[in-house]
Amino acid sequence: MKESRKVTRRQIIRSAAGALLLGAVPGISANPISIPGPGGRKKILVTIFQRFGMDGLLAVAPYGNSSLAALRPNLMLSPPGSGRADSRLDLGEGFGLHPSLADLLPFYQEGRLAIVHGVGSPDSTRAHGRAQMWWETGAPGNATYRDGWMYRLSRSLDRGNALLPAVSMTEKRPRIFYGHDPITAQADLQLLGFAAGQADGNLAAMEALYKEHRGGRLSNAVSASLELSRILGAQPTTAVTYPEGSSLAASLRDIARLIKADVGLQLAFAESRTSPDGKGTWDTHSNAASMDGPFPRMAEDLARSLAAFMADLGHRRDDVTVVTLTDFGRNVVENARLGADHGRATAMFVLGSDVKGGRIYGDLPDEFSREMLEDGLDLPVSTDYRAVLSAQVQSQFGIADASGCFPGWQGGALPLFRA
Amino acid sequence: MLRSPEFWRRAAEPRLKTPWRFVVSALRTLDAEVDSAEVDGADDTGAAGKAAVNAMASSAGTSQSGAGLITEWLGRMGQPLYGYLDEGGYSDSGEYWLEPASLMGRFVFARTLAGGELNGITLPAVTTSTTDNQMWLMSPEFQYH
Repeated sequence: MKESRKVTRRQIIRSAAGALLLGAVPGISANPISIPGPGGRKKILVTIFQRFGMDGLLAVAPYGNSSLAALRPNLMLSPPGSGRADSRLDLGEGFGLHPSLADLLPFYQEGRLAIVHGVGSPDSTRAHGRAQMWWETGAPGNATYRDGWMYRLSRSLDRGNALLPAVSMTEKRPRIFYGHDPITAQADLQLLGFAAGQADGNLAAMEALYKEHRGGRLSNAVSASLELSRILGAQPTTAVTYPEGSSLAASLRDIARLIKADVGLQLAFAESRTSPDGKGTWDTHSNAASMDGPFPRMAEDLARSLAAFMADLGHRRDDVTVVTLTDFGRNVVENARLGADHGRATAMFVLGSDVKGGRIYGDLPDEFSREMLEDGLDLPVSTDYRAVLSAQVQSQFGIADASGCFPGWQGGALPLFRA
Repeated sequence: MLRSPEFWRRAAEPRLKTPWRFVVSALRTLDAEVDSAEVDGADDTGAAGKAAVNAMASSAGTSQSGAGLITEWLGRMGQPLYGYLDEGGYSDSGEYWLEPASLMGRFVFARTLAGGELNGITLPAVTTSTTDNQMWLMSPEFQYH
């Protein structure tokens, strides 16, 4: 031990043995990507954060429930088959999907989309910032955790020789990916494709400088970046049409591009904040049921973007799970402005070929009353969001103990995936 | 602490620049003058320059001043000004940014800056060639303190 202390990192790097070791580091070899055969491909998790709190009961509701209608008479929409613009789409067993989520219906019918209802955080905060923090750190109620659960998950996955194991399609690194080590956060991939358009000797000269440099992590990172840049730059643009002007669609298009480029992506994060016209929000304090209001804009943007994403993925869709996250649900009891304020439990969408979909997980009450609501207003949380996310961590990523991602979590996992 | 070998070994290790330090040192190296005033209707990109670089700079160039452009580039390199969510602020280790987007951000910034293509940033007439300046800013040595 004492002997080894005298050897500095620089000495190792200078030595011939060090040079050989560095040569073996992934990313520096000429062709670092091995194309894995079918079955050997890695699973990919894409999370979409619906900022500011989706009304789970507006998205998916027991449409004929008169006790629910008594508490939110203006937020029920029309029942399926009524022929109106706001007619819900029948999911069976008395549940109806918001019509603006129509593009998700085929996935539900094919059994690839699961809905988890009555889901949320055990912490009862109704403040956006706090609530989002709990969903992103994975440690609800415990502010000592500042790093994100997707970051912790990225540390426990075998990244192999991935050029880009994780990405956040955001301008800033989001809390969900906070942590000590580098994570790529970028609102669009244009910058990453930069090297491909550079046919001059300038870039080649620079690359040679870094190859000579042997500066360990820096050289490796630069080599990997240029390799990634060339691969992305050489990729054909997708033939699939995504919703125009949608930042969520743009994010998903870039994620699909990374997946199809086989650069080792396993974790991706995107946001649903507003609609292409800027008038949409999930924060539906008012005018929530209007088909020209803020909710249908967001729902349509989400559903159409996801449908395009799944089509774009082609056969690679079999590797991908998409999970939605949101601050909280909204009050069951509607407010005086035809909306609903910050509440508790909401709904999550889980979409993927391995998902046992076509059904609604979680518990909703048969009879809604002020007495059974949390604080007389809200849908109680009957399923912890960590049970949903743990299902992905355990069944798809093969990590038996999800408490590495969700500290202290011993609540198991919902059986959402096919074995 | 001063007598511990670990202390001196850490001190002797070359440290990578953060994006902030990289940008400031690049501006100082070139003796660049940064205009912080708003410029009406200014196009962020110069006429010259490589197509990819131009596309990059113009697509994301919403700022009207050199200072605004610099803050945009810091964001692209993963260190948006005052953008860290916790009190402690950004890591002072450059290794926190050793990922493709931040590194490519450095290189594209170096090329556009030394190429004189960033509006609102004026470079003095110098004897070194544009290519030499670009290569120096993109070199491994320049990435360290």
